[in-house]
Amino acid sequence: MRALCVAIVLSCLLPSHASADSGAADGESARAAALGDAVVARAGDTSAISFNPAGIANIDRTTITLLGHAAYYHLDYARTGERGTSTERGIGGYGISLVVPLPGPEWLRRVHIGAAIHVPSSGIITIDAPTRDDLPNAPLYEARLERTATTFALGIALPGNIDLGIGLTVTPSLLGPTYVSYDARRGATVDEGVSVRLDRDVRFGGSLLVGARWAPVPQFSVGAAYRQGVALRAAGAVDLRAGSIHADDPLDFIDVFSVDEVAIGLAFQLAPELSISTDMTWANWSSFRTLRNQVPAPGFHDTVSLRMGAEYVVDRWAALRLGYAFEPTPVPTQVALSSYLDADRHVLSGGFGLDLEPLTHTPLHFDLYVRAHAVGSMAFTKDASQIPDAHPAIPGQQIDALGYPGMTANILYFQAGLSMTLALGDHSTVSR
Amino acid sequence: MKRAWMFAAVLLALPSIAPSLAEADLEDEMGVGPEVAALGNAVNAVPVGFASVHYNPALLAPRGMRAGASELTIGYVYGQPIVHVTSVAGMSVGTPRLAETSSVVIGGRFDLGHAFGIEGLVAGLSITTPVTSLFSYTVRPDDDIQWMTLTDGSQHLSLEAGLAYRPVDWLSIGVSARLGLAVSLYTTAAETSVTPDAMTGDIIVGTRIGAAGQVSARVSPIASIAIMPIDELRIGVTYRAANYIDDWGWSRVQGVPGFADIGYQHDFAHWVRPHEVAIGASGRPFPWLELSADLTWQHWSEAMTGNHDPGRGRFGDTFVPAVGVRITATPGLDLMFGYTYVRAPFQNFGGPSNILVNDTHHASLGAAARLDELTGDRSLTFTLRASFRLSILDEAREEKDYRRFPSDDVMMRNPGYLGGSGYVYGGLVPSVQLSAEARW
Repeated sequence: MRALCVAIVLSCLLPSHASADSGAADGESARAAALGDAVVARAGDTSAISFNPAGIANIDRTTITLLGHAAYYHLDYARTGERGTSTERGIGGYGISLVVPLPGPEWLRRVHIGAAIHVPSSGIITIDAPTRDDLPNAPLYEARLERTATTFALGIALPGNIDLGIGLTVTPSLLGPTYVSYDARRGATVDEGVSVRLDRDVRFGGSLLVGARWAPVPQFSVGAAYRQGVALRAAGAVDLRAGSIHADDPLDFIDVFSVDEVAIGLAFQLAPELSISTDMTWANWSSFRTLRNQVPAPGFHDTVSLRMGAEYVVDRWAALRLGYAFEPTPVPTQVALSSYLDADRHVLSGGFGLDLEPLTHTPLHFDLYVRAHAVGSMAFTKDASQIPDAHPAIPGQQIDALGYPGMTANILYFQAGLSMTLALGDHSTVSR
Repeated sequence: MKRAWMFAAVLLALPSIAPSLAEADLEDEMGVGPEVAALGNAVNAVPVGFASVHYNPALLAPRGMRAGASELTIGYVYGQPIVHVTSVAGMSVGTPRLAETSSVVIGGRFDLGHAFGIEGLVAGLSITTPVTSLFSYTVRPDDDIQWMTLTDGSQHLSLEAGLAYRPVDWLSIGVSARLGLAVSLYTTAAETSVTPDAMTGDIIVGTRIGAAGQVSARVSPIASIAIMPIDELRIGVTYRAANYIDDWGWSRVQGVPGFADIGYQHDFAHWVRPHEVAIGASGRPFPWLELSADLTWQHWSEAMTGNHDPGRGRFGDTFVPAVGVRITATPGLDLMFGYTYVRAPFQNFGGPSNILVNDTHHASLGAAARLDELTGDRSLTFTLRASFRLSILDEAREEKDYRRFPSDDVMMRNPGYLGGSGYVYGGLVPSVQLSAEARW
């Protein structure tokens, strides 16, 4: 034992595996969620920071929105012929959004700035990277609502009722090399012989948001937005020296939260009390990468999703909202090594808004929403010819894929949230 | 095989090696915004807009604040350490890279109470973040030669939110919450290959890595009171709880042939700031002159390093005096000056640690221009500010003392021994800040 000892290594802040976007968790208000997130062409809500930054140009007072949400997630899966496994967990998060129209002369008052921060209740960053790549997991749910995101936006109100906006979503990337070695001569005890050199560097990566909105007449508006994909990267070195044993592995991980999206939306004011909106979103899921930054096999495919929302306002102080979205799955049938669990989903939402300003002259309103994801059942059978041989040195094909020979799965997801919006100061008006 | 398991057990039982090291933070080293920096951080009794959320949150709602007022500020700070560590023989000694400070400061102050008919209820928010990083820090053994407050200096996000209430004109109370971080990381690697290296004789172990962990938030409270008997006089008392980053976890390699599992567990803590109590006063003897003075007690003796060697270095409490002067040269234009003296909170005492921190003089100056007052255009409700600060690190010397080492061999292997003569260290840290504030 005198020989030596030790050491170790590793370490690298690894991200939790994939995730997706079926209603951005960051900056999303309860109003937007209740409307099925069909808000690209709708104005007057701080969640425009995340969905279409042009929309903040229509907010004419300093506005602060606080959001809290909670969700229940349940996943059942079972290998063919075996008993199933269930996982369930509660998910929560908090968000704050701020939109400010600048003061000053009219050209400056056309400029609005916004910021939104969403923080999961469980932690700023959650790390869950299994050593095996074939563990069954639901990439569109696992970490989707548990990511920290900060978005900054700038909106400009132009004449002709045209609004333009640009934003930046900031996402952390992690660099965490660790070097551990042992030198018995450094001190009198084993502890003193170990030296650890560790770096932790969480760097910012940025994702672009660009949007436009045009309201040619008060009863109709059209909007479009480009949202660049958001991914968290992690890299570092693993350098362990324990006597003559040396482990030194570079790391490069990627966690895809969302992919590039282009959304267009229409909004109609059908009556003074009733408005409807619809969005269509193309998502570049074919660019999805696995945790180890590889193209999945088989690859994901692009999707086009449809969202609709309706709002009915009662006497200016109460609003009823309904929303619906259809999101086709980007995940192909899992015939190879990986077992990504997902299926087409229908998202139903509803909510209620209470505006105290007409009642009490307090510029405060509350919005409540509930939302459910109806995800279709999924089942697949593995194709042995597409699964790599686990032990090539042993004659015959050795299969240790965790999803073999096949699998069935179900997902349940419910969410509810409450937001409070406070307006400050006087209305800022510009000629349109 | 039994031997291998014993070996693994020893390794996994390695106690926490906890080289916790203090960082600097921008709030204290450079100041949040040019106004604070220019006044030498002597702002415990001076309302400094959103920045009061850190220095004295009660002053988010100072006496005389206009009802319904709001402010939003964006600023930038740049600082560059110019330091040296030199052996007595004149040779330069290497240290981990010193990062420049390049951070964005965003802050806001909002009169929430006005909307509800509660006068004097004001909220503030301050975010300071390096341009490129959320946080960045290094962990090195205590005997590595390293700067205490400069290596990681202000390379971390600082987020504070506060609320103040002024029930009567002469009294305001405030609380803030300051974000801290905790990092846990459990890394497990499975052996995938073992390859002897014929050249070095090493056994190269290939691994497949997995990890579980979390970066989570911790909150450190700040509480304060401001007494403002007349418009021209303020007294402030502020308590700030300790703020540090925890970093714990383990790393293992499983299935190394002949050794079973090997690994270590760690429990690091990075002290950003200890508990602090600050008292301050400010007065305006003439309409064109404002004077301020602060004294801050910093409970550094609670901070730790993880070096288990005997005779290690030690933290000690400090008192930090600061003074500031504001001269209103003309309506709409202020000139500001400040000075702060900070004693080094850590001494190596000739022991195994080589943690470098100096007694420091901070001298600063700055200006503020309120455009509406200067131009007469009432719509230009903006204030531009700029400051320059020079931090002078008193040169210090470290020489190893054989009585603090278990053996001559261990002492001579210490990176700071340098042939027995030790080393000297010091330098300068210039920094500049700019900001623009919009007011409603």
